[in-house]
Amino acid sequence: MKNRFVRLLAAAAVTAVVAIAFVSCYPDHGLTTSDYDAIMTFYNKSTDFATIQNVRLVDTVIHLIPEGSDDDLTRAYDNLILSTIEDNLTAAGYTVVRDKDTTDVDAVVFVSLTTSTWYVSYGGYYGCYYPYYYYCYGWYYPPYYGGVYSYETGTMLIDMFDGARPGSTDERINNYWVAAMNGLIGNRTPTTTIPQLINQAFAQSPYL
Amino acid sequence: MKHILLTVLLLAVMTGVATAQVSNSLFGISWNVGLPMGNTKDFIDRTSYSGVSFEGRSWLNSEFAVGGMFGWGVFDVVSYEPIQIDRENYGGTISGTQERWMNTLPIMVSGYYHFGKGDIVPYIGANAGTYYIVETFGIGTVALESRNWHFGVAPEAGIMIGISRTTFLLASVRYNYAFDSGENVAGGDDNAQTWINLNLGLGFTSF
Repeated sequence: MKNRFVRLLAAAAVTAVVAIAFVSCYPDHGLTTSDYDAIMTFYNKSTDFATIQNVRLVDTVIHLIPEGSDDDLTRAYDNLILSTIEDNLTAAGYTVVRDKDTTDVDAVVFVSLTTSTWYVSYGGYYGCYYPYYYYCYGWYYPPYYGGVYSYETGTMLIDMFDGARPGSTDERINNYWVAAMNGLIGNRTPTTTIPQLINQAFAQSPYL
Repeated sequence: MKHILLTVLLLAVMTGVATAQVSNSLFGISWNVGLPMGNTKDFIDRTSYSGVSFEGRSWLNSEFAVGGMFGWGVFDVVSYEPIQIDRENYGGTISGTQERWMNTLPIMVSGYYHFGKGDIVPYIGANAGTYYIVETFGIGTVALESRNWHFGVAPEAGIMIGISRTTFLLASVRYNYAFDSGENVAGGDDNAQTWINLNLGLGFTSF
């Protein structure tokens, strides 16, 4: 009987070690695509937003593309992005101009977009950030038993900075506020998703 | 890793000594409900119903027993509460669906005192050893993870109820305290974890 007990305990101990070595349990929460959106906003504490009246909204959405790569990001939603931002800035009490020749402004706002492709394989999580495809070449040749898939994320950045032109290229520009919105691309309705994300960025920035 | 080796060694020695002296021993398996407290509750404020523990004990005499236990449990929650950031020069907010998990694996040596004999035997116990704790935090498409070994203690009180000659119903309450051992998943200095387990299981004796 004693031997049986010891064997039982030993088997349990081995099970424990194996469990510790390999297992962590992650109960599934049944999230949908939109649950993978994240909106981050940061502001400079030394900025007095009450003194900012006139804001220039740069009327071109900047696509952040690695040097030498083609710009395959669509511009179909640029107007929607800019008009939603303009509506929010106006609602916050700013006077918004888009004319690039208007230089006498308190702050400048510009928008930029980028995408990243991620690869997931057995037992690992490999990020292949868009500009660094070189490091991902190995994953274009997955084992024949499969198990590799990819997904694409998009990030939109809205940046508000000091409207005063710097005196030289060495001069630092004061950054007032930045919003970063990241989410999965695909299986979404951009005309719904884009305004939702931008509106949330402004909603969680009541100091603007 | 030092903690686990020391604990496994102690567990093996104590179990070996105990079983060499008497043949009365018990092997138990229990379902654990976890009630988070302290830092654990700050991270995941939700009762866990996913936990299991295994224990062995051997009687030194009619009252005292020594042995060991190990188990596994997971706390998890989905949170929609925005995260506020307040640093010296900047502030901010991060919003989005957050998934939080905390896997806990205690491995401990144990000592028990039993109040009497018979079909209903209350007992108190003290467990000491190590916890392996994995904290995981996911927001958007980003996930952060923190894995740490903690020294820990777990006082316990329970009752054994005989349901056959060699089988007992086990019911106990165990207070788990995993001491601070490094950074938590958010990068904070204090990663001490605390929770209470309500345990219900079966014990099989070699009486």
